[in-house]
Amino acid sequence: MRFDSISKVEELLKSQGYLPSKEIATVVYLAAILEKPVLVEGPAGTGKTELAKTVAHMVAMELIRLQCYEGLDESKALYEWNYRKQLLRIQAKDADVKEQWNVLSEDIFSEEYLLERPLLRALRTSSQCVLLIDEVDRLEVEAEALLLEVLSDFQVSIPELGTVTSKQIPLVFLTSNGTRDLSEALKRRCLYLYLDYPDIDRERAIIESKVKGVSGILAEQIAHYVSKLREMDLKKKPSVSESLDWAASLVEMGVGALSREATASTLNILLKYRSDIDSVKNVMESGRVVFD
Amino acid sequence: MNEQMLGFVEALREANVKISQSEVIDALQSVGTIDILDRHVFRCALGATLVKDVQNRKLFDKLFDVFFPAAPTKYYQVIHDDDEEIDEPELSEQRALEIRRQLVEALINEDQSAIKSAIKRAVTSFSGMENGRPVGGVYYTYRTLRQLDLEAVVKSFLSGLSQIQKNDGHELSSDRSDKAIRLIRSEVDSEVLRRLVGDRGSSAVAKTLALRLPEDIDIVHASREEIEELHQSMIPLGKKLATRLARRHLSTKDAMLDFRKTVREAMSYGGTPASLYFRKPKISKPEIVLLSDISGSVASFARFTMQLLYVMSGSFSKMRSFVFIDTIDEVTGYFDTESDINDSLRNVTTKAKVVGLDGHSDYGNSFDLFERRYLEAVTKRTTLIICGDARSNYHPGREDVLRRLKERSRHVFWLNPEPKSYWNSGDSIISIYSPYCDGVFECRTLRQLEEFISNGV
Repeated sequence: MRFDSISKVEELLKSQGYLPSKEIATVVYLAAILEKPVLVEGPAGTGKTELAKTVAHMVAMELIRLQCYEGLDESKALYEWNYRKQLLRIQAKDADVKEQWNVLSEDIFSEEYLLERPLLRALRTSSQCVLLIDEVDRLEVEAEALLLEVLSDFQVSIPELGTVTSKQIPLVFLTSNGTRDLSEALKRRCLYLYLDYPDIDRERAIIESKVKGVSGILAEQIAHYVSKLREMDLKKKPSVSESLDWAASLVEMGVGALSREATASTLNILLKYRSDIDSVKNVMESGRVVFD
Repeated sequence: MNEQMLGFVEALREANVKISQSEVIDALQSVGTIDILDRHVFRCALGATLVKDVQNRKLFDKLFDVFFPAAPTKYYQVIHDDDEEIDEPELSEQRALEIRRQLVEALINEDQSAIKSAIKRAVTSFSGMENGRPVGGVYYTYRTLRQLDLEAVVKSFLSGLSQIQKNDGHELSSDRSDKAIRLIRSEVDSEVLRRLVGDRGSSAVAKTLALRLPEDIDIVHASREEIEELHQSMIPLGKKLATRLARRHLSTKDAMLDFRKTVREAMSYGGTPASLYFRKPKISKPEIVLLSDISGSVASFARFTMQLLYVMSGSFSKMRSFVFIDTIDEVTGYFDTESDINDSLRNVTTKAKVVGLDGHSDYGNSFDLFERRYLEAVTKRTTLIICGDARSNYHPGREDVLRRLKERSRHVFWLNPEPKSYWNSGDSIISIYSPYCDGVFECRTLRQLEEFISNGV
């Protein structure tokens, strides 16, 4: 899979309702050409997972998703032998096990008894797919090593079967919230994309495209207000998805333009900590964030 | 082109950004597939392939401007473009007025290219740049900004704005002027840089800039901008360290076998222990007691240490902090979880009673008072961290107190923000304390502080 140009990528993403920055489009374009995974890092709610989903959608490929969590291991990420089935097979042959053991052992470690997990599946599907490895930073450092062989050579070694090489090279996206440093080895194999909170213009455009019935003025005001909030020292800064929620609620309430009352009564949509809400209210009362 | 790329990579590596050979190859490959005349795309491509840590992005951007400047850099070209001679001194006041007017107009109209050309003229007229002069860029920037008179520019910019009623309500005038000042500064900076690069070549300029990652900035001697940068990298760093500590506690390597559960599960396999079960290791979070010298020479370091430890206070079962100059005071109360860390730090510097006599550091007296007033804070589970340069102004050191504290506590660590070569010179008495510490560490940069926390505590 290759894209004609960077602007083509931009266009395609836009047509799916994802507004890319130039940087996003460039990295996606490069990833397809260089056949390299993309490591997408950034604060929560800036559209990291969404990017992978949208890319899969726009090129009409299957999306295979591996959700990472602490304790994820080979048997959940790569492959597992179907023990029960193997056991049944052995018992079914019970009568003359001894003679046939050689045949049997080859048999029970064949394709039929292999359970594919996301990584292996991504390699073995015949048509190219998009592989999303979500929240890699939740993996333990040791488990990261699982990914290395897959990501650099697009192959998996299964001791009983040999090496499974991929029929096609999937487009790989890894996302991380940056709660810990990923290993150098992993980073080296990836292209890096940092998705920060969007600037005011892009956020306004996102709000306008995602929230139905929002007026231009309101979207602009929301984008300004939210970007102001992000400059403050908050426990959890409002993400894009939260400003979208906020916009949708304001539209629902019939608010045409931000006012102090409307803002104060709906702050809990944007901010998820009591202390954050209080400190923003304090600032608003002291008059430092002002509307028209 | 390739040579310039390699020089760029070299400069990044010089600044401690880790770049492997394969990443350089990726970068060169990616450059082959894009339109490198689109500077923004070119920057994105290099960024994606070379720099894989967002903390390093700022440095990357600065160096990128040095190695791949936006416009021709040769000195004679610049002069030719502007078609101007370096001014006679008598004319310069008149010219300054004119340039200022041009700049203000451009700012009001938000005309990027007009702003740029005004800045260009300003740098040509004011910086006094000459070919081959071995002067750093900061000097030229300073000269330009001084003669440009930022304050006057901003003032007339704002009054110009209010005249045409362009203030559309989203931004306050203070925001606008801040923005304008930032824009002018960065434009002057990049213009000066561009000319320097043309004069001396990218690598040489990169060297004189001596760019550093926030982690490598010497905390005690940091400039105001650098301090700000450090503050910004503090919270992610604290979080990272906290998760690292948590992971260390969770590691299953030294877990004990859960015999009971293993045997019970084995019964369903006819007595064969098919799988082993382990007890979760007990998490022992350390108790921290922090003693910080906050006298002038090391105050900024103490602040950073306090801030970092409080960001990660969840990793400790208990944390108490004390500050001293010649008397000691407890400041734990200022750091409740609700209040903003910067407010807390301000309270520490303004409210803590740390000056008893003359306001010069007195380690002996402070330790003595600590032992008499707060000894109950130190128990067998306590890790005692002392931050300071051990410059006690020739007061008695009272190392006997530290010896008794060491006997009471689990660990005693000393973080010294001075370079190791200065230790024990003049009034530094670190050597009389070091026998009673489990470790004395030179701690001048965030990187060293980070190392200490992830290995030591």
